[in-house]
Amino acid sequence: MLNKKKAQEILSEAIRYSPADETEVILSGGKTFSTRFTNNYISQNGAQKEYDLTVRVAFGQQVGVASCNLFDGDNLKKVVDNACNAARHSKPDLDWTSVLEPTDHQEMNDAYLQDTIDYTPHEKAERLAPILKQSIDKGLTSAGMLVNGDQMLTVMNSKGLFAYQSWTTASFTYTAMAPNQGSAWAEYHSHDMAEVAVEELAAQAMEKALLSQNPIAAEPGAYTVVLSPSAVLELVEFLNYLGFGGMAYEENRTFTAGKLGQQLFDPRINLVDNPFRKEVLGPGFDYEGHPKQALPLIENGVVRNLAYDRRMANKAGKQSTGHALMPPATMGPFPTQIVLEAGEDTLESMIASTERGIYITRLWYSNVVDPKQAIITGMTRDGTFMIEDGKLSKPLRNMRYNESLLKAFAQVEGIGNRVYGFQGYFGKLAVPALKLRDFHFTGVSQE
Amino acid sequence: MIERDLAQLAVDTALQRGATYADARIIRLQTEQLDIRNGNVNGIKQHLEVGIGIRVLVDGAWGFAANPDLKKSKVEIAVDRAIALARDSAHLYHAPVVLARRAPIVTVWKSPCQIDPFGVSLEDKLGFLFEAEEEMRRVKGIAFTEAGMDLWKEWQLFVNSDGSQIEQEIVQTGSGLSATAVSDTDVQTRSFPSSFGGQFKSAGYELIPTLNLKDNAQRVAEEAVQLLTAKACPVGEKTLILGGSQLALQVHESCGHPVEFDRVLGHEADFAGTSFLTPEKRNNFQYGSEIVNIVADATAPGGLGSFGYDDEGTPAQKSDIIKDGRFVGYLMSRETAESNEMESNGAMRAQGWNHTPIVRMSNINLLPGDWELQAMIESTEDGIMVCDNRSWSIDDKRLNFQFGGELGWEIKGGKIVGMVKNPTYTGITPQFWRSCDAIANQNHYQIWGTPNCGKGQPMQVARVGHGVSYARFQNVKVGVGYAE
Repeated sequence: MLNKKKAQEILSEAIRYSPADETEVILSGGKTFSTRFTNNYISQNGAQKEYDLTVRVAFGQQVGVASCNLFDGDNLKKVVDNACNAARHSKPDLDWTSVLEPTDHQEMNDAYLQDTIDYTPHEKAERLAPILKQSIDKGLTSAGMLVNGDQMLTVMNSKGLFAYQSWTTASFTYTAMAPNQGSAWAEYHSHDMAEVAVEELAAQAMEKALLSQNPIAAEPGAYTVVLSPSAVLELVEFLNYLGFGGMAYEENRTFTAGKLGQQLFDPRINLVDNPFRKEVLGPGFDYEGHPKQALPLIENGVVRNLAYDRRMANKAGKQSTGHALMPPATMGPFPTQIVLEAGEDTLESMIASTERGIYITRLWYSNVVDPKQAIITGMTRDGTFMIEDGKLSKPLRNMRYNESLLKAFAQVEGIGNRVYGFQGYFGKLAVPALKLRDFHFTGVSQE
Repeated sequence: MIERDLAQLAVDTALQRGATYADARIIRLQTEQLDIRNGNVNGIKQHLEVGIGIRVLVDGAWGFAANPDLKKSKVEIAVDRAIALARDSAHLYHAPVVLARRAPIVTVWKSPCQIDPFGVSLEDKLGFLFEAEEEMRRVKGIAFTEAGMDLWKEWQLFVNSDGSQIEQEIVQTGSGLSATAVSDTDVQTRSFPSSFGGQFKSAGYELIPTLNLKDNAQRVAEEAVQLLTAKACPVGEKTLILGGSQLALQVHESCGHPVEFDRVLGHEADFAGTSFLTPEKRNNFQYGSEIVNIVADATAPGGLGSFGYDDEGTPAQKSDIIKDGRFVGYLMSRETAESNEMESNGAMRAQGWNHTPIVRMSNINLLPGDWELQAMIESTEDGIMVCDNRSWSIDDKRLNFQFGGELGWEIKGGKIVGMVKNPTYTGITPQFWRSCDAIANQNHYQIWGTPNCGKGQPMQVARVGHGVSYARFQNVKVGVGYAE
């Protein structure tokens, strides 16, 4: 890991080379050790190390960005030159605002765990061996990946701002496949390998895979659904994407546009962006070095806040909330560490209270159908079951859904009592299980 | 140490330390992305990177290590790491990996490039974009306009323990524009030449002026505004005509991915998924109608999936995937081919130096038929023509799909009668392709670039191509997605 001192040296040197009025330098990256298994054996075992340096310079309001993965003197000079060249040829960006003044950041000292980064490939192989043997003994086929690594983000600018955070990562994804089209899924993501209960997760998935054999086709239509956290993840990710980016909001493109302060969702829905929550742990500042704090996005079903970076805040006459993405951030700002707060139900109680419905392990390949109505489509995957009289009664073929998130999160019947962390497209998310009514399925996967 | 010696050192060191096979790829990548928005520069980003990826086979199992530092000592550390990883993998396997044989190749290959895009001034590039984008801003009712350019040059040196030393340089360029109109209840975008960034090809800067962005800018913006008040896509079973980048994406999702042999063998089961095209179906399964012919062709000029050699040194090839509607071939690597007693058709590709190669599409091309587009429309009684992708989704076995386009044209009695908004359609892959009753001829054919194909763990993004003209499908469910 590039430590704070080394990162500071590299960034200071880059800033020294810059003749621009203002310079902002970002260093990010880390190591990834991934053990991937397929067909009950390790099929891919990799070690990757990658850091990127991004330089943003401004001459007045002419802005340019350049990046590289080489940090010696000549290459640092070259990347700064490239950024300056880009800026000098650019037209003024009328929304650009000066880089941030130095400010205090809350550095999390317990986010980097030495035991997690030191977890060896050999230890991972030893950990996986009994699971893969069990898989073979049960007549199952296992695939998945056990990963540990580290990440860092450092921001420095020519006004003297400096922010640094490093953290470790650990994740396990697991697919158990049974004969006769059975399959099931488990996953866990954390910054602490000690939390990743590989054996327990695999055992649960194996059991479910055996139950999921010989699936039948359910009729498309509206059903009450119980979604595991892995399935809820996909819905919340699109809720964020379609609703809470400041640039899209200011351009009237979001479903939240003009609805700030309105009750759009069930009163039990609370969505917050908070990098200090354990499940979505990450840097307490954005790519401009702006400090983050907990930002309520939805409170008791009411849309409360949106994410802004300095440029969009300047344009909209608002304050940055600390949600700048990596420059040039052409999509604008987005929440990056969001939590859908837990409720009071358990997954088991939500299934038990369902007379007739569908249980969904995970959703897959979701995409936007209509951004203003927040309609998305996608498929179920790796364990879809009919619920009858409070029990998983029979496995189902995968189903296609088309649903408005506005309706889905207004038709909440239950919320799980624990949130689980995931890696998402813009950052991290943590979500509980959910029970929703009148969730629309429009097709079935079959030849 | 020069790069060729360094790569050879990595391979030789791996063999000395117990590897039975090793390859090393040193890559230098240069990219530039220009984005303008509403007459302003929204982002100019230039990127440079180098690194080495080392793949070794020890005791029949794989290990891979990558490092951006090309110092001899760091490369040796990476080799040691790859060897150790392979040994850890070897604890848990059924049978050792065996690679299909391949004669060593020593060569240099460059993609066609008349004008180096990195030799063109930023002023010229931005000037080209601003000129086209300004045309869109003149149209009343537009909320915002965007134009962009994506330039990419990768130099790669591949060395393996079979004796191959292959140097390749590939240059790819692309550009496009879009206009968006917004109301309180609707957002409508039109793009040209394609959505999600435009058209991308394996070519130098000479491609960019031929894209005719400025000539199409006003029309694109006007269509975006018209879409706000256009009627909704009708609901029901209709004849469907697809062309351009929408048909390219249809081929990508419902043919390109399911013929990746690593998916079939379960290697992607935990992420991208598996495939309905299981081995017993090869040569025994009617994938589409008899007029459907699809090839994997890395030799096709101009495709994002065009190269001289894949990332394990197999020469670029053209091979049949679907022949007269019948499923006949997979995309394969040396390992996956050998597992089924076949030969690699050169489909092993990696994203950059820091990922291990996996089975990938090259250019998956739907070969042209003999129809004129106009004749296709005139012989359609009740149909929709869907243009430019807006949304795509398909299941993990690549059977059930749903796509949405930016714009639809309604066809009644052989004539286009009007524009429809939010066109969507859904189907089951083999049923859909079996309903294909017309494919447009060579005059309408071109290769579209898809620069954002995700697959693998850790995920890799590949740049692939799809040659298509227009195709017509019968009895397709359209107007889906707005279920009540």
